[in-house]
Amino acid sequence: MDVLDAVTEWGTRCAQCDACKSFYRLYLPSCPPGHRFRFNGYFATGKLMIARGLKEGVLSLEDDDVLERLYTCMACRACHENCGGFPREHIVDVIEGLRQMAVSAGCMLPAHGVMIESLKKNDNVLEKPKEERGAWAEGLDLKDITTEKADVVYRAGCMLSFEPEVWVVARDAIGLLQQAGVDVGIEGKEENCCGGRAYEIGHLAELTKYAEHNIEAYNNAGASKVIVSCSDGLSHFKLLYPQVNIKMNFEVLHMVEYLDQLIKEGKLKFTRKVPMKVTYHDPCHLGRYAGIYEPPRDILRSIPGLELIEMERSRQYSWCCGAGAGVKQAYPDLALWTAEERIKEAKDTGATALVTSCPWCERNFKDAIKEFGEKIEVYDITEIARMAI
Amino acid sequence: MEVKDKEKIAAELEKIVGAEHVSTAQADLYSYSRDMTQNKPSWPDFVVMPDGVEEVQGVMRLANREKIPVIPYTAGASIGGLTIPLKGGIILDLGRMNRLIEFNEPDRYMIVEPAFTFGDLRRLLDKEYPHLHYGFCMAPPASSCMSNALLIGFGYNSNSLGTNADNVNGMEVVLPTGEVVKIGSCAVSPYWSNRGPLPDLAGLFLGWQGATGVVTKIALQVWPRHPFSQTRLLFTTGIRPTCTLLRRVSQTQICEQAVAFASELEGEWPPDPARWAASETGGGGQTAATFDRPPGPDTFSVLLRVEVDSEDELKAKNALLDVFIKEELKGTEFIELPAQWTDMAQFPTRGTSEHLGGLTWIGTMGPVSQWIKAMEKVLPLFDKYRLRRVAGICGFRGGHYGMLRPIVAYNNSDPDEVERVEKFMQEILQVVLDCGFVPYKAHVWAVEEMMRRGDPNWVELLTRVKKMLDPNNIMNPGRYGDTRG
Repeated sequence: MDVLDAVTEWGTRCAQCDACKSFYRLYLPSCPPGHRFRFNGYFATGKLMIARGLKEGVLSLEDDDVLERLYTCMACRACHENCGGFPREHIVDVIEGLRQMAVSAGCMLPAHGVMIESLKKNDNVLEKPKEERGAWAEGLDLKDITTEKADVVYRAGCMLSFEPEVWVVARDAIGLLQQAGVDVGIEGKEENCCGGRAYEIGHLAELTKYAEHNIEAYNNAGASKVIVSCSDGLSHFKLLYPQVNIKMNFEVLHMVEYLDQLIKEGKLKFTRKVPMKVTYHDPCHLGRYAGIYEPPRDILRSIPGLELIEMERSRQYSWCCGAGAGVKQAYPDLALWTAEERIKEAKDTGATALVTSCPWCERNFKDAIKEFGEKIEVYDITEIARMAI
Repeated sequence: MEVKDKEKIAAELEKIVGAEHVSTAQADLYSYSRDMTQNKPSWPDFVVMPDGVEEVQGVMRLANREKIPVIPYTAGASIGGLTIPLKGGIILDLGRMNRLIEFNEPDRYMIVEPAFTFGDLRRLLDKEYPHLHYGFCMAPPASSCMSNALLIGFGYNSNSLGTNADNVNGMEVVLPTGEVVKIGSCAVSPYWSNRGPLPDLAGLFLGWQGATGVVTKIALQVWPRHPFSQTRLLFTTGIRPTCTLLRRVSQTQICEQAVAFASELEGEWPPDPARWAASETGGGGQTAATFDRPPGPDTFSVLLRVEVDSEDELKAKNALLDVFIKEELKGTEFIELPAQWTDMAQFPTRGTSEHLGGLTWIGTMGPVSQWIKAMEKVLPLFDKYRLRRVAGICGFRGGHYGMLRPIVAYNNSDPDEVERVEKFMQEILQVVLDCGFVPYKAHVWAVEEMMRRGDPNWVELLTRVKKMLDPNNIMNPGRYGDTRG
């Protein structure tokens, strides 16, 4: 059965009821490209219709408009929360399946071509030289797990490795782990991309390659845990890597899960007040993909002096940051617009800081703040936690 | 209609609404070419999203000049194929016009734009007016309050309030020729509080399926929300006793909502309430409409909802209902579940009927005295075509008339099931018309049949009105007033 046959039933059984267009029970916009561009083709229902149209032979992947509707989706899964119909948990699978078809047919967006070339050359999608990968850890004197054993591996991921403005997140994460007495090591410049972004834009082979490599690397390292600060990375490890059928002899946790654990076990104590009013943004891959909503909130609530105010669109009804699934690269204006919508929502709570737990979210929010001249701070939760030590 | 020189037209449309609000992309046009029903798709040539009356006027003037069809569109969820552009043209997607214009609390009406949805209304009422309510219906939250009213849709309080069209106070309409007109008291006063006592021109736009103009604002009545709402749920057997009970309850006007659904209940008696809850209206756990019904009684689920202001009132109404139930269901098998407090904030509900991908119906309104006769003919048709029985009846305006609604949620990807559904629908249409019921949100082929059967002078008048308002026949052509080809 080819991809189109596999996705056709989901496409055909979309009733075009428009439930996907807004968050159920909040009745607020949920789909960034849909809300931005408005035509049906940009919403989940429109993409399911594209699957039908391709099967009927009346639409073509060589049509730039078809590709644009498919690739402006951030794969945030908001539509999964809203759809009460048959396609419900498969909408993003359909979109990613169609993207794989597009790639197989040689229909790739130029910006994504650059990402894949970068991946092949330097094992990251950000066009950065591989040898710079470990630069964020300079001076930290950490164990190199390619030559030494450590109980826990901290995986920085591509964004934290190569964007100096957010190195502080990785460095603070290490600081917290060390404070808690964790025996932690890193791969340094030997770390590779997780392959997840490539998968999301239609390159299944890249995911397989990196999944196999990374699982083997961490199995060989003998670590009991791999801790990630990147929400995309977490969900790719947990939800995509099982596809390659190699047993992972280690547990993968997001930093917020592990931090929460360490706090509740009494291994980390917050003693300094952090008198800030913050609101928390649920990254899509941490929330809707991996189901992790409460640990970051528990962490924030345990910081003395900190006031946490929720946005109305939170938890499974969170508005996407706009960076995911290749949109940041291919449609930067859309990514920034989406982030700006979220920033406005954050400011409406009265918070002075927007806190998240994904470097892609953080990067995109910071870019939007610069672009639109907004006045709100953006932090990773690790940074806030470090302030409280 | 063949649209000549599409690029030139697209350029002109872009000048009117802005380039980013015009689409000729196949990826968009395909989506607007079809809906959830079995009706044959038909592609538009353009999708245009205006914002504001002036932009709508601009589009209408251009369409008139170039003789291009225009189909007003909000959510496309009419279950009647009403936004499928039968002759191509412009889908006028009113999605950007989604504002609340005014909420007049003392006079109990709201003025909204076309794409103000039931979801938007729920938010508004919960946040600002929790003491008020509206006739929410079974449509999903993304559906338009205006479209529901214009298409004579019903709401959950229709037994007391009538259809949502009955509760329209006024409108602002852009005529097919581009003029803007006000309908109702707002034509002569700053208030949109009543339609009468002026000559009621609302009828030129209500029920016309977008064939006579583009309504850009509508005033809809809102109603008090009683502090207590309770629903009684019964499972009954027998068409005659069920219909008789429902007529009596409706006509005594003690229930805001009295509805009975012939539901399959998996052909079992007594029914499993949990399984009924999951299978409600044919959605939920079903994966197909196909069902070979085993022999057994004709079964129904009956919901009777009262809204009251005190416990004493509740007691009194329930006592009356007890009498009706006892008398009308005497000698039959029925089960009543414990009454439930109704959470009115649950409306609008996310559809369960959409689960299978295809949804179609012949929703009708007609004489409650004919429910029995109609049900006796309608239900066996479901069996004939091996479809799950889902047919609802409920009273409107104190049971002066009522709804009869055979509805089918079907698996769109099963060609055999689709074929049976198509045949079933054609046969159901004849049956309901023969019994005196009139389809609302009628499919084009249902409109054709009604125009064929109907009083020739009525048909002539429809055609004349249509021609008067829409001399170039651009508004959703092929429907009321234009079935002569």
